[in-house]
Amino acid sequence: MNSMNDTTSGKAGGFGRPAPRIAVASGKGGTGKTSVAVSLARAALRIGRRVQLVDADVEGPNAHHFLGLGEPETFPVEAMLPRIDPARCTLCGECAAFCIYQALAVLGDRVMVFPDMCHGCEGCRVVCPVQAIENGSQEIGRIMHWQVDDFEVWQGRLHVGQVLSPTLIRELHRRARESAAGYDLTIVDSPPGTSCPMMAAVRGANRLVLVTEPTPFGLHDLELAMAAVRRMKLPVEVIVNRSIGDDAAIDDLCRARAVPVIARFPEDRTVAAAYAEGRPMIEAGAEWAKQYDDLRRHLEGPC
Amino acid sequence: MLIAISARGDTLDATMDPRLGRAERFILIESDTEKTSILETAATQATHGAGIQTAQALLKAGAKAVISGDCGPKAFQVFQAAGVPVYAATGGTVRDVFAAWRRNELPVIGQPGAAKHA
Repeated sequence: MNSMNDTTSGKAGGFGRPAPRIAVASGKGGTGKTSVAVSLARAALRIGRRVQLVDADVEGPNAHHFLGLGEPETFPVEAMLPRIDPARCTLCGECAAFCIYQALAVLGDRVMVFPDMCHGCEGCRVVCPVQAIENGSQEIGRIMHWQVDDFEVWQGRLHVGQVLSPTLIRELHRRARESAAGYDLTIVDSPPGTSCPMMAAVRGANRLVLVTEPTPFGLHDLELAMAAVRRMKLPVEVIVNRSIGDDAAIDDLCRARAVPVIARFPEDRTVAAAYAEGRPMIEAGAEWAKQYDDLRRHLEGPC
Repeated sequence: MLIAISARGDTLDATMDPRLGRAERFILIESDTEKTSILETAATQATHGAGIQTAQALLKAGAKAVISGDCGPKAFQVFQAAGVPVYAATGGTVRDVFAAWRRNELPVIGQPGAAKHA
């Protein structure tokens, strides 16, 4: 374990220690993030923990397919969209010139607003010299909430055509954090990739698990993900999923970056069969239940 | 009236650029005099909204008709709001395309093409 980790919180659940808030991410899509996140949640629930699961993959949320949940409570999420007052607007073009996303265009006698280009920064309103722009709003997505006994699930869903994934993810985290104190453990299922949505999902976690697979693609994207989070000063650990016995390239990378490999899950047909039925890895047999209990114990412990 | 044709070079013998938002440049032709000028639109490398940016630049330059390969939905909205028709051409030189427009052979784009991304 590298020395950077020594400065972060230690034993989980102890007094004065923040509860573990574990983000599960990966550079590459399809490595098994969601299955790992859900299996970890199940492992903790099995021994009586109160668990919060946050599905932050707002462009393709799917954790609920593993969970068999009922009807959620839903909350709309809105973002600022400029509203032009034609009576005040002088068509000077300052707003359109300011907007690097080209969400505004001045045409002859009017200003056009392109909602799906707008990032909601309010810069146009600030630069308008005649206060002709008001804060309007548009619904960018929804937040779903399920509560079943000791298990709470939060999920964000970005509307088709919308671009403000990070805004939705931040609001998702804000809501989840309001009730986090009632839980022993929070698990965040991050979107794949290494761009803004992934960074927004991972931010605020006190521990990060990167799930990878032993392919050139998995290796390449794992390296990108490590680089993307380097400045966040998060303890990072790696899970190799679908290992077929030779993970040397991943091991070399992890050694070079001083990132521990905390689990190695073998390629296993029973996992694929469970997955095909919508069941997570932990339900693929007794050996998998044990693997996940070990992982749960490790992640609840000091990093 | 001023006609704008997306182009891959700066003369009438240049090939028409099939891209509108990310066209290298436009050749503007005054249809009465056939006098030409060049409009560099600079949106080729834009990360967002190349179509909107280019459409605004063309309107600002005074274009009353635009000829390109296709027109994305946002640029289309801008041209529609300004009442500027966009004509579709399949290729050839700017000179050929302009001649085809003269002969009324080019269809007006009535529906925008699919949104394009960087």
